[in-house]
Amino acid sequence: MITDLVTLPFMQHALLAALLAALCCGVMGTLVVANRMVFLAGGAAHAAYGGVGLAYFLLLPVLPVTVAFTVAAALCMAALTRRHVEDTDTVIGVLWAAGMAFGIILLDVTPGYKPDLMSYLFGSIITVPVADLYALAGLAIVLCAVTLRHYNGFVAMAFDREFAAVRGAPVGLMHYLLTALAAVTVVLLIRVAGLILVIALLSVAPSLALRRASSLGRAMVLATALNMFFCLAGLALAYGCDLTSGAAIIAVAAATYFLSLLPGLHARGHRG
Amino acid sequence: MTRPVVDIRDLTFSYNGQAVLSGIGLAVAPGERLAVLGPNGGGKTTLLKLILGILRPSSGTITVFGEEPGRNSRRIGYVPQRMEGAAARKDLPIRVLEVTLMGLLSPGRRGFRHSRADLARAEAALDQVEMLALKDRRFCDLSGGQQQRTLIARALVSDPELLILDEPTANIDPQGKFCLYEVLSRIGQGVTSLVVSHDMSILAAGVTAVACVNGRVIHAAEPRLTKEMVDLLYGVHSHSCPMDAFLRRMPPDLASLSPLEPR
Repeated sequence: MITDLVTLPFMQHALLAALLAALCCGVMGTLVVANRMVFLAGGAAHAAYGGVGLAYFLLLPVLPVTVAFTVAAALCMAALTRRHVEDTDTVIGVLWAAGMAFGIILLDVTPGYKPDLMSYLFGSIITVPVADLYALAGLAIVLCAVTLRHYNGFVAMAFDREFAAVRGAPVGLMHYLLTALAAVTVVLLIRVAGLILVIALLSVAPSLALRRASSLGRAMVLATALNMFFCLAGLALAYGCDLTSGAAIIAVAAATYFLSLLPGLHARGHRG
Repeated sequence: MTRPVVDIRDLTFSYNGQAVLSGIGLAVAPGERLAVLGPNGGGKTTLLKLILGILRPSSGTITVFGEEPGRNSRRIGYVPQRMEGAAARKDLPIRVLEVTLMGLLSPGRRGFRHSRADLARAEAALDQVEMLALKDRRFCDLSGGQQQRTLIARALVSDPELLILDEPTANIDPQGKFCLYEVLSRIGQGVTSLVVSHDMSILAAGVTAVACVNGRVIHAAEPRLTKEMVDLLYGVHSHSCPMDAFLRRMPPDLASLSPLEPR
């Protein structure tokens, strides 16, 4: 089976996509979890449906329209929550639902071919086209470059935004930069991995890594390694048991997450 | 006459239509170590945020080193309330040395690594607050007093001319509190400092002046509370002040240590 995984061209593409997704989500997810933006990233991922619907309705290319729509929706959420115009969870929840509903309504009124929305939920990592691999590689380079350049600012922002602002760091700009990067990451990965898998890769491995690493940089490396393990083990499970690949990867991630909680639960049980 | 480091004139700040501070004036002289006392909700943290430029006054003026607040952040060392914000989280893998280096953050500094000079400055600041041995520990694994000393090192690392501390003893046990007072008395000699607290024992931290804030401000150039200050803090006349009754029940030797003015 391992020989098949490595020699079959579509499996080679799937492995490469999984490794690139693991890297993008390992780096971006650590920043997202450290800055408590998981819900915002989830909102952006669901709002992306609005972009898909708009692209089909206007007969425009799907990827650029979805990226533009999702980044705009995410920045809107970030601005409203940053200025405390409304309760953060409420704003994101409303935009999350509205973006999805908007996309589905537009697809309903679009005549002719309509995409299968299930494919956007779980993606199809097995059938990823080469063009998407190039897009993912480009995204990985951009994410690593931006993170290396602004690493200390991102660390300070995650730790204490008010202090970072007092020291003259452009906290507002960095908040919007992080939001926009999270939105682009989500859109590019939805095509490959599906919405549910993107949220899992952005949150499960980083939250496990943050608890164990000694620095944010090391947490990014550990989260990437964990994501790679989830993806490879999930793909092997999907191939061996004929399961949906995205769902199998999430099952491995979720099982690892809950197993990691057991020692803590055991210790609390002993303390009474 | 020497120009005050912080100069506040006829300042009013309102939030949601309610006046938090009204018509206040305060001048902090160079080298002064000022304790800013006040009850919760009295406006002392608001005053501090106005000085830092985090909030803007509704009317009146503030100058810090002769400039508008927020324009001279490099000359200010700031220690926020410990439990505020993400710093209180238990899952952030940020080491004590990294927290201290955040005090050197500025818009021009980018990149991943810190210079040797910056690392040496951070280690020296940690040494001042006796935290150097713990520099590689995760901040979230430290005790309350150790976290607070780390945040003081973060403020000291940039060699500030003005040090601002917001409730430095909040959530710290009595032993940790007096260790912190010892550190505060020792560090930053000659540096102008403002220590905001609702705890009167902060007067034991080597302060040279006191300002009481409760909607308005009374400032004295010595670390003792006057009758007017007690009236302002508790909103009652001093003859019925619970603090007075408490002091009368104290043994004479302990009462003599009180920061309250003898009556």
